[in-house]
Amino acid sequence: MTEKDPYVDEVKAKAERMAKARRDKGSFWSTLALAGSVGWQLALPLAVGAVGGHALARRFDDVRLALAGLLLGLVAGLLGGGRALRDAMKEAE
Amino acid sequence: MSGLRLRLRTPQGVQLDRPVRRVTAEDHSGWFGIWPRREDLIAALPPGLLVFEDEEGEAFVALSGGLLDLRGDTCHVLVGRAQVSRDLDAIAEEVGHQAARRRASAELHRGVVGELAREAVRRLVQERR
Repeated sequence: MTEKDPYVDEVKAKAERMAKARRDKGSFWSTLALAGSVGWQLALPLAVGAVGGHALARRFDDVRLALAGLLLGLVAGLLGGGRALRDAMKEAE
Repeated sequence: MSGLRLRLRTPQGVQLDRPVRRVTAEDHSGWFGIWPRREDLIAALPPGLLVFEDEEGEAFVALSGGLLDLRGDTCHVLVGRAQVSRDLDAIAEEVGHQAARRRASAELHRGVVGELAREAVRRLVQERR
């Protein structure tokens, strides 16, 4: 008859957690850098879309192009920023 | 070596009695550290790990729960079961082997006592006939 020993389970769980924490110690800065990139991945496409749309609107004298550029930039920024955020959260776990 | 001593006792006796640089232990509110000249304290230790550092480096103690009593320059740790290892990755396995040996020994003991009891009953029944 095998009995479950809570002492063994507790020690195993705590040893694994401690070993993992010690292995992951150096990744604080890489996680911070990844989290920082979320902002850039959101803002940069938005800015490029806005500036590009504005330039096209001036060139072709159609204000809808500026709006389209802004919208495209917003969608690209949200997609990219969301992916970067998901990666940063996975890294932090 | 600075003035801190770790003395680990189980019901089987003194498992460890040596000068150390520091002790790190966990109680129900979390991890805490003990360096020389720390104020006296008593803490209840749940099952888990205790870490100490001596001149050979870091070592880990798996313990089944008990009491830590820091008095002056000696840290007394009183636990039911303990296993000391220098290897954090191996300690869980060592504790598992120790527990398996205890279970096997208990099974053997139960088997022997059971057999003796059956033999005694057999003889009693034979004598009564």
